[in-house]
Amino acid sequence: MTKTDNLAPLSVGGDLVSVQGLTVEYISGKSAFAAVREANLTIRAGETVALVGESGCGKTTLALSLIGLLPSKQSRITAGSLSFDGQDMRAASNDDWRILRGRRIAMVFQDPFAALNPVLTIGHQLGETIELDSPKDGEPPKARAAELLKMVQLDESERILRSYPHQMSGGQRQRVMIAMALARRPDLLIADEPTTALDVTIQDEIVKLLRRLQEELRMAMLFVTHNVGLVQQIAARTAVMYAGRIVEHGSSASVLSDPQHPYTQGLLKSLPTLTSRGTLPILEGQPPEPAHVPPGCAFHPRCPRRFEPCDKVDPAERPSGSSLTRCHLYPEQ
Amino acid sequence: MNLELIVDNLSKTYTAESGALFGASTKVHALKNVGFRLAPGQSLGIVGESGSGKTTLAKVLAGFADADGGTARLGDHNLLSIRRHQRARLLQMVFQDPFGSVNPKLLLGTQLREAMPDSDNTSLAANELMATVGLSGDHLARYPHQISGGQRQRFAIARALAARPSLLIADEPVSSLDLSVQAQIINLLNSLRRERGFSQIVIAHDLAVIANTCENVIVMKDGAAVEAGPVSDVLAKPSHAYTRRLLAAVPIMKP
Amino acid sequence: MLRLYWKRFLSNPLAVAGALVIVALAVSGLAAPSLAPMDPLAQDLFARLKGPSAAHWFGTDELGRDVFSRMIAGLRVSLLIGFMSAFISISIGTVLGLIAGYWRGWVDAILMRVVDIVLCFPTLFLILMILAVLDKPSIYMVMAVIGLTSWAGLARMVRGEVLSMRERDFILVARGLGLSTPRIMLVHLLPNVISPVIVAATLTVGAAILTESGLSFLGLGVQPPLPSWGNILTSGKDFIHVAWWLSLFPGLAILVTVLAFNLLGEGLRDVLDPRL
Repeated sequence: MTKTDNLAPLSVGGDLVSVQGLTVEYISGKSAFAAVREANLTIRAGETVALVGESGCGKTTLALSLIGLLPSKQSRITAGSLSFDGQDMRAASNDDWRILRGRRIAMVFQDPFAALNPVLTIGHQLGETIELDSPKDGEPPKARAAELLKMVQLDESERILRSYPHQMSGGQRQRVMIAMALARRPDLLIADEPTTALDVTIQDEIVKLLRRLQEELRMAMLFVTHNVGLVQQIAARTAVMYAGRIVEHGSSASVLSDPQHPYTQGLLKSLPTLTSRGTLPILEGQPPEPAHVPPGCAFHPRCPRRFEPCDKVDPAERPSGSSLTRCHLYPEQ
Repeated sequence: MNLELIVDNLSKTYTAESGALFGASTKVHALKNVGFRLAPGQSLGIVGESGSGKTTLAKVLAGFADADGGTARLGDHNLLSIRRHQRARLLQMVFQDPFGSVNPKLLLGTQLREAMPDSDNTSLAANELMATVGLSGDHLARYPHQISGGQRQRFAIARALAARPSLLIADEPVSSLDLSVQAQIINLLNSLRRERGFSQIVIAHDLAVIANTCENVIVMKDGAAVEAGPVSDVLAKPSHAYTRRLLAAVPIMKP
Repeated sequence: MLRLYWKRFLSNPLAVAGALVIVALAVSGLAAPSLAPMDPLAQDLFARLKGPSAAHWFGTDELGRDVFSRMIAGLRVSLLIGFMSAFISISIGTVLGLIAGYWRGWVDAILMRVVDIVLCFPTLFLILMILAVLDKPSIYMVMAVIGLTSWAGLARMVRGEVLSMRERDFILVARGLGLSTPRIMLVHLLPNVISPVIVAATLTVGAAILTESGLSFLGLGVQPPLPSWGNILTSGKDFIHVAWWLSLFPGLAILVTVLAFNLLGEGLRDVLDPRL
């Protein structure tokens, strides 16, 4: 592979990630179901996009497909296209992805404890990542490691490099994960629920850290979360997923203040806040199992505004307000 | 019903082994002289992060752990020394994880019926109980894996209320649930308390959940209660630095 | 739930094969007297050590007895001893494991020390000693001895499962509801720890059959003239150069039977506790 081997500069303001009509299916035995259906998503260089949704909505599947970590035997991309920096990655092999991983695309996961090897010191694990790159002007790996730890605000680098994962707090482990992911200055960081397992105050710190790093390193980020409240702090644009579809997609401010899709509207209205009181307006029912998604618009059984076409035709993406949404209430272009 | 909960100077310490082979063990003060009152029918929120002692407090009150000092009385009953089946009539708990709090191998009907008092253990009563939490009697013939997480949490609430307790302790009742389902459970807890008049303790790390279910709140940090008072007061004018930090960390929703 | 297990089981050809073999053996064992073409004890001194033929499918032994009929009778004995001793050892092991795991404290400490001691004993020697002292033991004695010496490993395993289960929220709920301890152990805990027990049970039957064959081979198990695969092998070893059939058929039978139980056990493990 040639195009990504030489670290040519990215086209300024171009689309780093372009996903069009992507459908990803999971196969179990003889049956298959779509975990992601006809997703359109673009991430520009240096921008942060939040991917929001509940369990089973397909957000992790979509995130994994952007780094080529979908389980190869149990899943397949059955429709649409997926490209990174202009390079078509839909049919890419594991080797093709390996060239990109770490160097241009990196991922941070929800549970840092599970992602770190319990029997190796932090220094060892961090070192492995650093050694993959050619040393920066002959800088010894230890200094580089300390530099990385400082970047994620872990100061006692000597002690930490000698420690094992279980000797550190959840927040510290997550910072180490972030340091490892960013060691080779990737162009895209995929963060899959990076703060869900952490305490609220630590969560806040990690989110601020990620935002700062993203600005400093001029990196693009896909921030996957089920916590709608975090979105505004970290992402300029937000995509809301439901039952495998991106049902609404626009700037974070407009998605939160002027949601177009009934699901987003209902969800935002129902969330308890510090100021809400009394009976909260609820969304009836629960999100569908990925394998048993209702026909037509997946949200129609729960939708207070459903009408004629909703149980028959799955709405395509169309503009509404300043966002794009998949809902029959708004006219197709 | 109508029993007041008075907790005074409650303490618990335990020794934690260090990770290393010959490391010294440290004494952890899980609860440090915690005290509060809960009037009948009222709801108290206990907010804190991991290590704050909030879960230990719930476990001690519910009888799953022993206290090392202090008292806890519900009406005339000493919660720290009461027999298990007596406690069952007074106090019930709803756990965080709806997957783990229901026995996967038993029918829901079996699990509900064994929670109901012998005096009123009919299938009619069981169906009624299910209806109060928004579930159908048909669910009693199913296994836990056949219903959703939100439905399982409703079942857990029904089961807890079957014993007609005076006090319900809800440990993170919505944090493992989908966002679009959380409001349903919050509304349910509120309406059940209005109808049945039990007292309630809600333990959560999410201040918004507590704000929507409780009249009073205690903020815990490192085993001690650092601030307490009516929810509206504490949210509007937090006096402790940690409370302010917690409030600042709550993600803002509207732009 | 059962349908899911059934489907999973059917997708494992080896396990299904094992199950079919066992079913075939069990049916034959039950129908034994009618299946045997001849009386296993009938001697025909004019037809000693004859090879396999139309009249004697598996040949005859040194007293002219039809080996096939003896093997069918031996099958009955093997299965009986296998199942009964497994039943004894599983019952003891499960009960003790449940008690030790749930009660903990000194009860657990004592029980586990007993388990340690039993496990340290070279079981075979223990069995040999007991049976030698008993002098011509009946099959019920053999059954009891095997059962009473092989429960320890299962007890430890059940205890481990109970230890990991007892802190689960639904057990705490049962305690919080004021349910009695026996009820919690039998109704709530047992169904959740039973899967590895079922797997172990299947494997234990296979092991018990093997043990019984070994004992009978040594002359300490089933006593002649009552046939057992093991004691057919005993004569087999004396006449191995002139009557290969006396060693091959019982040996093969033991192999196939134990293999069938092992395959079934492994298959059950995949069904009940799949780790993909």
